[in-house]
Amino acid sequence: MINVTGFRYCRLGTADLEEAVTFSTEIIGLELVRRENGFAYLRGDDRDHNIVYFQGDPTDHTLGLELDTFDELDAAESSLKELGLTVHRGSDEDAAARRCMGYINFKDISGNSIDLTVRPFAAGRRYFPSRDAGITEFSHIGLRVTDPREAEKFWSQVFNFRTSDWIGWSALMTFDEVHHRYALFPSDRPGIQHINFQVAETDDVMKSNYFMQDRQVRIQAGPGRHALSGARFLYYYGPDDMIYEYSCGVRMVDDTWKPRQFPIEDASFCAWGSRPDLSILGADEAAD
Amino acid sequence: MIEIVDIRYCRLGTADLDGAVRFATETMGLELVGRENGAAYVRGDDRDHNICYFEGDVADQTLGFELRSFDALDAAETILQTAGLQPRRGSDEDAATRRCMGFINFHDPTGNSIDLVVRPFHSGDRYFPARDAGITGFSHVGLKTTDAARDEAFWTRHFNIRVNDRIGPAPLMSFDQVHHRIALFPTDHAGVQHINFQTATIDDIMRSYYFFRDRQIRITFGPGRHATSGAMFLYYDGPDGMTYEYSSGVRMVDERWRPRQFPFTAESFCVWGSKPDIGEFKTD
Repeated sequence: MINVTGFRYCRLGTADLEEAVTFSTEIIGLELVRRENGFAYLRGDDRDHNIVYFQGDPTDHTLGLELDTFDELDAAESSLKELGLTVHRGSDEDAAARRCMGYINFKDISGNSIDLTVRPFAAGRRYFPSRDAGITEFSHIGLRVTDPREAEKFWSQVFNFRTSDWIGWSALMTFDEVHHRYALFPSDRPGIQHINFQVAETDDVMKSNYFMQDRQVRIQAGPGRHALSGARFLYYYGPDDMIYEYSCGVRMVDDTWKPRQFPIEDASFCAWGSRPDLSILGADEAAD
Repeated sequence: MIEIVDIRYCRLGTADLDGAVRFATETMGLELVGRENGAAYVRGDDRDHNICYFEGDVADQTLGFELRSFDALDAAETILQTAGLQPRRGSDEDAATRRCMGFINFHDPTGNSIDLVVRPFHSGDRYFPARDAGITGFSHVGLKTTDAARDEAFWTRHFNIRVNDRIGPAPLMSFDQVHHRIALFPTDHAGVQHINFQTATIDDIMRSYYFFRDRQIRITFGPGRHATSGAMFLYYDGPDGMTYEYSSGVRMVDERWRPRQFPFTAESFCVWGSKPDIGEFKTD
C-alpha cells in the first residue's frame, strides 16, 4: 500500500494566465508567491504553494500528493507499473518546477494525472492574504472519476485512503483525520472538479457570499451547510469553469468513524436548503 | 423610576385575521394558543402568548411590558401622570383580553401605545412549534420614533432602561442583560417597526432563508450579522406591512457595558455585507 502523508497542490492549465492570477488574488484572496518560467504559484496557507497555473489546456490538471521517502517513491513506482498504469519519473528540472526534491507522475484508472512528491519545499514566510477572506488552508478537491466504485476501490486498496461517507456511489475519502480530501464525482472526463480552501469562521463564508454577489462572481452552490461534513460552504466559478469552494468547520474523523450512506438528494448536500446542481453527481433530471 | 421586568407581547390590528394566523403559524412557526372574540393569540415560547392579532385597524398596535406588582403599577401611573402622559387604567374586561390581572396604557412621546401589565397569565403547556424554525422565544421589538433623542431621554428617565449601543441617532436599549429589548428607529410616524423571535442556531436562520425563498416570502434584510449585538439575523415581510425578524446569538451585557456609537451606515447594520430593504434602516 502506498502511504500518502500530504495533500500538496493542484497544477492547472489555463487559457489566460493573467486572468487566473488576478482572480486568484483579488477574488479568492490567495497570495502570489512567485512567477517563473511561465508558472504562477499561489497559496492560501504557509506552505510553498497550493495552486500553480500555467498557460495551456484548461483541462490539463494534476494533483500533487506527498510520500515520506525516496524508498517509498521507488516502491510506489513499481506497484503502479505492475498495475499497468502509466508512470513517469520526473527529471530534476521538472521536480524543481514542482518545488520538491523528486516525484513520479501517474494516471489513475480514470485518467487523472497525479504527482507523488518527496520532500516538497517548506516556506520561510507566512501566508499574506490578498484580501481578508479568512482563508486558513488548502484543504481538499473534488476529483472526477469515470466509475466511482472502481475509483473508491483503487484509492483504498492501492493507497492508504479510506472512505468517510458516501453520497450515492460517490465516496468522500481521506488519508488522515480531515473528513475528506477527495470527493469523487462521476464524470465523462478526468480532472479536478472543485478546489477547497478552509476559512476561519462562518462569518467568512457569509462575507464572501456578499462579496461575490457584489462583483457578479457566479455562485455555483450555497451559502449552505454540508450534511456530511457539517461544514458551512460557498462554491463559486473562477476562470476556465473551475469551481472554487470556501468552507469552514469540516468534521474531523478517526478510525472509530463509521461511514454513512446518504442518498443523492438536496438535503444530503445542504442542511440549510440551498440547491446545488446535482447533475454533477449523475442524478436523474427527475430527481430534483 | 418604573421597573420593567419583562417584555410580554405585541397587540396588532389586522384586516384579515385568518391570513395573520396562517402566516404566523405556517410561515413563522408560532403556535396558535387561543382564538376568541375576534382575536387570535400566538406564541414562540412557553409564555401565555407573544402576539395577539385582533380584527381592527392595522395602525392599532400596542407593546406590552410587565411590572412587578399592583403597587408598582400604581406608582407607574402616578409617574406617567406627572410627566403629562395621561395613562389610562384598563377595565377588567380589557385586562382579560390582554390575559393579565391588570394594566395601564399610555402613549410614548411619538404616540406608540404601551401597556404596562401586572400578573400576566402563565401557561401550563410548553410551546409546540407549527414548523421547525428553531424558535426559542419572543425577544425584542423595534419601535418607530419621530425624535430619537427625545424618546431615548423619555425611556431612560422614567424606566429602568439603559442604552447599550447607538446606530446614528437610533438607541438600542434594554432593561435586562439582553443587548436590546427595544430599539428606536427614526421615521415620521408611530408603530412597531419590527418583531423579533430568537432561534436556537445560525442553521435555523439559514434554513428559514431558503424556506422563505422557496415560498416567495419577501426577505427584506439578511441573512446577515449585526455589528452591534453580534446576532445573526433574517428580516422578512409579514401581512399588514409588519417586519418580522429571526435572530440568533444576541450579545448579553451587564452594567459594566459601555455603549458604543456606530455610524448610520450599512456596515453598522450588517457586518457580512447584506443591504437592508427596510425603510428605517436605509442609509442612502
